Amino acid sequence: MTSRAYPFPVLEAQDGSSERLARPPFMPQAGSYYVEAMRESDSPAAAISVTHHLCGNNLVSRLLEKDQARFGVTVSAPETMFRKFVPLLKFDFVASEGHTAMTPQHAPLNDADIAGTVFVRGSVFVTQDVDVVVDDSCGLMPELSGVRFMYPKGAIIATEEMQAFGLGTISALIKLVREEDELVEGQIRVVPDAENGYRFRLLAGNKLYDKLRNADGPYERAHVHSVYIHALSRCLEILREEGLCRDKDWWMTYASLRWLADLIQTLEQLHWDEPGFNADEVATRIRKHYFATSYDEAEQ
Amino acid sequence: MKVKRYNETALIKFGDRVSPNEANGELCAEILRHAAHGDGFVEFITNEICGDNSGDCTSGDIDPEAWLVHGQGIYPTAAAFIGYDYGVMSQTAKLLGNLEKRDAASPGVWALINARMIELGIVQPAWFAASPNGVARPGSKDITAMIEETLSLHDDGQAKINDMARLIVRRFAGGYRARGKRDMYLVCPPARAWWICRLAEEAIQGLEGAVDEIDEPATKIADILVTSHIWEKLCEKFVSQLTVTGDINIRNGILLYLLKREQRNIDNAIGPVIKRAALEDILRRIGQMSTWRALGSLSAIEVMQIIDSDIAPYAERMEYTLNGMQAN
Repeated sequence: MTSRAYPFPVLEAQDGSSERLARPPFMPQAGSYYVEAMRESDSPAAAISVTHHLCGNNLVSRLLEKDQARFGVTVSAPETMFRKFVPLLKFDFVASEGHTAMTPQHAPLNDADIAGTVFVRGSVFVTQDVDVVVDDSCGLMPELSGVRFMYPKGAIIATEEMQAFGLGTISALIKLVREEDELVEGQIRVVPDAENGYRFRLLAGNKLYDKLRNADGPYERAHVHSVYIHALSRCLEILREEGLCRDKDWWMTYASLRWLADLIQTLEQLHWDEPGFNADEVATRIRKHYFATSYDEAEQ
Repeated sequence: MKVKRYNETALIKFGDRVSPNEANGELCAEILRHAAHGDGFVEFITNEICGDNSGDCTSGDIDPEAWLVHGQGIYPTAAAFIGYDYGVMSQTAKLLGNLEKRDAASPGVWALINARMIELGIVQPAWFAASPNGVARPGSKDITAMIEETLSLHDDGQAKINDMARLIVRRFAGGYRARGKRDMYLVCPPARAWWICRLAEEAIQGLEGAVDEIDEPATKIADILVTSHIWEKLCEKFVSQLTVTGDINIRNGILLYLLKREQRNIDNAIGPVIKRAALEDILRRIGQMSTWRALGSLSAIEVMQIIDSDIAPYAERMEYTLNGMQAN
């Protein structure tokens, strides 16, 4: 992740930190902003569901409380020339430990307008021109104290990197979820989640979650890739154990599974019912392990 | 329910066989021969696309033939088929009005639509070779003769044969590995017509009330979109990953700016139609601004005002300079 230059302070979380420290010009202890997003591909209609996490008391939380700012999400699907900004018009602060606001947002989409990979970016933006005089409560670097500046209407005051969701990708099938209580560090667990369109939840402890979420550079991305292959293998085992693999109509009910069903059909010598079925082998035929040095090649 | 389409992997592999680096000379000559003679073109192309799949690599539930049967006579000439006439384009869009964006983003769908149009006699295979760049003149009385002339060059003219075959395949929506799907939006005539008309329609709905003082705004917006370099640049941005200009408020803000500029500059030094470099500059600056400003949260009029006051002056200065250089 590279840091961008903004004309005024924008709250972002630092890379790979489980504490989610803010980047300059916000002070590290000022808190952070990040988003958890998932694609709901099935009932009742396609949608992107995001949870905005705003931590700490700072300039952003102050402007939200004064109703001069709002949460919003940008959804885009380049293949169909689609892009939409969906503001969250009303929200309640749902406070929990360490959070100033943890706010869910549902951005409905028309399935007919969407194809290919969908990109999502959460943000907090100001709804009017806002004059700011920096003081201690802003959470900005001390040398900015007393500085006056203006956020113009529409200015983004907190944001996170764009996230990608492909209907035909593992990210549509497996949702990464932080699990702080039940797993020791370095452990993962894959569980089915049939509630919002059939998919799987990859539960990971704090540090591993952050590493998977914020992988930077070829080595870290290769690690993430391997963990997802591991999870995909477990997904296949679950589908087999539950006997779901034999019911073609059932597969077709869920957009998140359709691509996998199509893909598996094209793999030769795959017999779900035979004792020799090997989920690891199938998973690595769907997504091969690669060496970090050949990352660019593997991406192609 | 999916619209019937060619398998896209097969289509890409077929396109590879006429690509500049890997062109199969024999295949290219064969494509021209079938295009010139008309009969059997679709069968030949389908066999070449589908290869080992027993000549059938299509899938989907809705055959576009059902829509296209009403399309007889909409293209009087090859020039009308490949051109940017909004009247003709809107007839294409109307004919394919039931298509959803999801399907219209698939080259496989457009290749099958072209195949069906040929089978129904709405277009001739030779028309796919007509080019404003001189490979074969649009409006030429006999494009077939032009193709045969190219073919007669034999080995000496292999590069020209390959170029012409590649143009046919790209128009058919089959040659997009190197250029990405953008090629389909730019080069495949019915795809380009459908998308331009759909975006014009969305702009007209979105700008209601903002263009009251302009005569015939719908036609003028469409005229802006069909200007080839404007469509090319907008399209490039729409389908890139950031797609900032794909946001309806931002896109409409840009169109409104171009429309107002056209009204304002009809008689002045920079001229009514924006230059390619100036448009590129405006789109680049909008992209930069969108990293720190949620332009999609603003109305199209607000976006237009931001472009007019904060972004376009740089581009307009560039245009004055370019005009000065041209005058000298």
